[in-house]
Amino acid sequence: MISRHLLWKCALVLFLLAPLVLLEGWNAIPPSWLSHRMGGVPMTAVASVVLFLALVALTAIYSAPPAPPRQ
Amino acid sequence: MTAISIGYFVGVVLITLLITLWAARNSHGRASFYAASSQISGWQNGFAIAGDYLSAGTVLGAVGLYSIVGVDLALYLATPIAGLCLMMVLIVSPLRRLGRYTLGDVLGAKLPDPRTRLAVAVCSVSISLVYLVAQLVGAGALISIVFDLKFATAAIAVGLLMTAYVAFGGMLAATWVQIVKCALLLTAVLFIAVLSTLKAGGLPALYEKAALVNPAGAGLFVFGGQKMGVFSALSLSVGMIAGTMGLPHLLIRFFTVRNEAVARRSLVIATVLIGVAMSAVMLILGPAALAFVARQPLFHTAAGALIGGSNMMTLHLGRALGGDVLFGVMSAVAFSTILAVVAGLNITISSTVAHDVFGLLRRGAPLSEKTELKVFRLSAFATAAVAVSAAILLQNQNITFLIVMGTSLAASTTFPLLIMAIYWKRLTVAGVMACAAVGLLSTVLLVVLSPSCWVKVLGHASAVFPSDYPALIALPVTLAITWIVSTVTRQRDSVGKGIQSLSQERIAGMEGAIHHDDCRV
Repeated sequence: MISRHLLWKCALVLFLLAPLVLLEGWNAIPPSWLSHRMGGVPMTAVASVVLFLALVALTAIYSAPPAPPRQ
Repeated sequence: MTAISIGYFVGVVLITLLITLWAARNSHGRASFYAASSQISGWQNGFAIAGDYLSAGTVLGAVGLYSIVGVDLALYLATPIAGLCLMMVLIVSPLRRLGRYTLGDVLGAKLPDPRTRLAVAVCSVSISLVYLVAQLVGAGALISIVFDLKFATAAIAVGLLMTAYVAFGGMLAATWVQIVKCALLLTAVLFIAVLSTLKAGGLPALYEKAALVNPAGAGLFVFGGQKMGVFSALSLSVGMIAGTMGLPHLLIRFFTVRNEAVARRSLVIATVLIGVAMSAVMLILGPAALAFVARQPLFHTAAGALIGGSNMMTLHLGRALGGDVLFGVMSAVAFSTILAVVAGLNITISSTVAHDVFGLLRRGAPLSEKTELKVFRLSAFATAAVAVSAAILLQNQNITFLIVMGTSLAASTTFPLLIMAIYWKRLTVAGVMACAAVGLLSTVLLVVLSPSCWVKVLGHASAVFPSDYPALIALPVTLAITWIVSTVTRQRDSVGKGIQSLSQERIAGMEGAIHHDDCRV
C-alpha cells in the first residue's frame, strides 16, 4: 500500500498544478495580479516559470532517502 | 544548404559514430548492452534522461506551439515536470530495487510468471514503437527540408545510424549520444535565448514586438485563451503526468546506475535540465519565435504555412538571428536530438524483445548470453526496418494522433502496471494481463475516435470521442478492470488452493488412519 507520507507528497505536487488546470479547463477568471507585468514581462509567463522551478525544487527535496523507522 | 551547415552535420555524425566505436570496444555481454553494466554516474544519467526526454517535439515543437496557444503552453510543459516529480516519489527507488534490464524484470520480481513478462513486454514495445514512428516521421520531414533530401532517404539514413548505435554500441553508446545531444541542445537553447533578448533590446521589448506581430496581440499572454474545456484540460494533465511516469525508455535508464541513491540523484539532475529548457522556451524562445519568425514571408510558403511545420520554428529562429551559420548549428542540434531519442527507443524495444519475449518463445529453455545478444542485434535491425517503413507510409499524414497515442498508452498500461505491482499486494497474473489488454485497446480505440484521427486523418465530419486526450477515461477503466479481475482471480485461486490443501490434509489423515490401523492389526 502507498503510505500516507507518500500520498501527502503526491497531493502537494497536484496542489501546485491545480490552479493552472483550473484556469485552463474551467475558464476561471484569473486573479488581477496575473494581468500585470513584472519588469515588462507578463505575469503569466513569470508565474509559469515559477511553477516549473517549484516543481523542480520539490523533486530535489523528495530525492532525500526515506528516514529509517524509529526504534 | 551551406558548406558550414554540412560541416556541422558531418561533425555530429562523426562524433556519434566515434562514440559508438568506443562503446563497442567497451561493451561485452548482456549487462553492458542492456544497462551499460550499471556503471553510469548520476550526472551522466541525469544528462542522458534529459536527452532522452527532450525530443524534437518537446523542445523544438513547443516553440512552434507557443505561436498558436501562447502562455497556455504552460500546461503542456508543467505536467511532464510534475510527472517526473511524482516518478521520484512513487517509482524510482522500487523500480531500481526490483529491476535489472527491462520493465519485465520489475513485474517478474513481484509475479514470477511468463505471462506477466509477456504482457509488460507487449506494452513496452507498443509504446516505444508508436513513439519511434512519430519521431521518424518528424525527423524525415525535418531532415528532408534542411538537407534537401527525399523523405525516404532521410528516414532510411536516420534508421541506419540508429541501428548502428544500438546494435554495436548498446546502452553505453546510446547513453553517450544522449549526453552529447543534451549538452548541445541546452547550449543552443540558452544561446538563442540570450541572442534574441539582446537583438530585441531586452525582454520587455521582445514581448512588445511579439504582441505587435501577432493578430491576437497581448491575448496570447493570458491563460485560458485556448478554451480547452474541463474534460480536455483534466485528461491532458492526467495523460501527461501518468504518461511521463510510464515511459519505458525513460524508466530503463534507472537500470544503468549503481543503486537507488544514484538513480534518485540522476532524476534530480534530469528534472533541473528539463526545467531549464522548458523555462527558456516559455519565457524567451516562444515570444522570440513570434517576434522574429511569425508573419515573416521568408519562413512561410505562398499559402502562409510555416516551411517544414511547427518543429522548424526554432531552426527558422536561428536563421533570423544568426543567418546561415546559426541555422546550420540548429540543424545539427535538431539532427542530434532526433538521433539520441530514436536510439533510446530502439534500445528499449530490442532489449525487451531479446530479454523478455525471446526467452518465452523458447519455452523456458536456457538462453546463452551470446544467443540473446544476437537476438538483441537482430531486433535492432528489425525495429528500424519496421519503424522506417511505417514512417515512409505515414509521411503525408497528420501524425499528431501518434504523439498523443504514445503518451496515452504509457499512461494507461505501463503506469498502472508499475504502480499496482509495486503498491498493491493483491495484483494477480490475470490482473496484469487484463490491465495490459484493456489499457492498450481502450487507448487505441479512443485515439482513433478522437478529432486528431477520426476527423483529421480519416476525414469524417465530426469525432465520436470529443477530446484528443483519452487518459481520463482509459486510465480509470483500466484500473477498475484490473482490480476486478485481480480480486476475482485471487478469490478463485485461494478457494482452489483451499480445496487443494484440504484434500491433501484429508488424504494425509486417511493415510495416517490406515497406518494406525495397520499397526493395530
